[in-house]
Amino acid sequence: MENEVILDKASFRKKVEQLSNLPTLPNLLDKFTRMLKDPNTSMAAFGKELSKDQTLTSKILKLVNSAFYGFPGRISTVTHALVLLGYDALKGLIISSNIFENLSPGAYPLWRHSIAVSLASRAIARELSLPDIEEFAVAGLLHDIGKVILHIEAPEEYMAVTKHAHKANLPICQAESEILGFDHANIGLWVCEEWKLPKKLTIPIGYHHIPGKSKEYQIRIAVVTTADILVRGMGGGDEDDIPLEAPDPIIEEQVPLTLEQIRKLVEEIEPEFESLKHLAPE
Amino acid sequence: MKENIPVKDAKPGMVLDKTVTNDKGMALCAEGTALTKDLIDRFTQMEIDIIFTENNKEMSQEEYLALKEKIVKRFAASTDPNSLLGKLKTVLLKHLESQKG
Repeated sequence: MENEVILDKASFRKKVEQLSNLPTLPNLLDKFTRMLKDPNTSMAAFGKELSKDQTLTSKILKLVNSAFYGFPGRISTVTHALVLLGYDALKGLIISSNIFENLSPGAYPLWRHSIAVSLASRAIARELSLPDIEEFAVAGLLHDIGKVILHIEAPEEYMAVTKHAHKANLPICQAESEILGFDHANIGLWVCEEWKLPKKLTIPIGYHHIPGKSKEYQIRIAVVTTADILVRGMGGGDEDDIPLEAPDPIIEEQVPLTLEQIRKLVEEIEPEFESLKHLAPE
Repeated sequence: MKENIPVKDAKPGMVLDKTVTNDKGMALCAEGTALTKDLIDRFTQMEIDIIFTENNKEMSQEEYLALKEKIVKRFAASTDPNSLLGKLKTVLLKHLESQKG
């Protein structure tokens, strides 16, 4: 049967929650979160504490100095990375690197799509002169984290979803709902809550397909959704042959882009987008 | 075919055909990378003079039509030219046309 629910929602959620026990993730993030909650923690003290963890330090420095992040070779200390990106963006970045590391080559288009949406989210936030653009970039990077988790944890079920979407010409999230009973944005929200990411990151991830349903952080949802549309329009979707659906009108109310702004954004993103085609996650 | 060009003539979108290194031989940017304005500015700051780029060949009519059809298909649901999808479709089709030369 095509629409048979092949995954049990409750047991899959449990599986997802256990994912937060991935090696290195919990200790690191617990420590992170504890320090962040303490108002007496200065950025320098925080950076110093982080620097004690060699694996983490090298990971952070590698990330922020990578070509895609835009500061190649310029950041040599964790404290400097913190100042440039902010706590929350850095936290999201560490999580993403831990998850993307586990991807199989079949899911590289999804990884490339995530990076492209991250670049586009940053470019849109910059174009609109919004504060904290790095947080927009990280929300874009993680917007499809639920799909990544599906790829890793339930590859067969996910194959059934994409097959169904292609056959019935449906948006992926609708196919997910029909087959699994929930979609990748739901999973994204669960994991982000598990990881205790701040709401300003979890809301755009959880609501990028249902932007009208959130009362908070609408501009952040709208930026990530617009970035997703821009990238998919440019051929950077992970499932390219599924047509784009018109977004909720709230998206264009929140992010009203003129033809000229769209042209500028496309020209800005395209070269980066081209170079992504040669990359795979490390 | 490789093209050896001065950094001042580099344009965003050109693809590096050889890894760019500094005078100590340290890799700065991998081959296959498409140049961005930021990257070109950085090369200039680092006083890199010459880079190798792929000889960007022109797009054939067949390639153009195939890409155009892909865009049209992707935007099948877009009916209002003033909506986000409509505007994006216009921009992408124009952009593609400009690449045709």
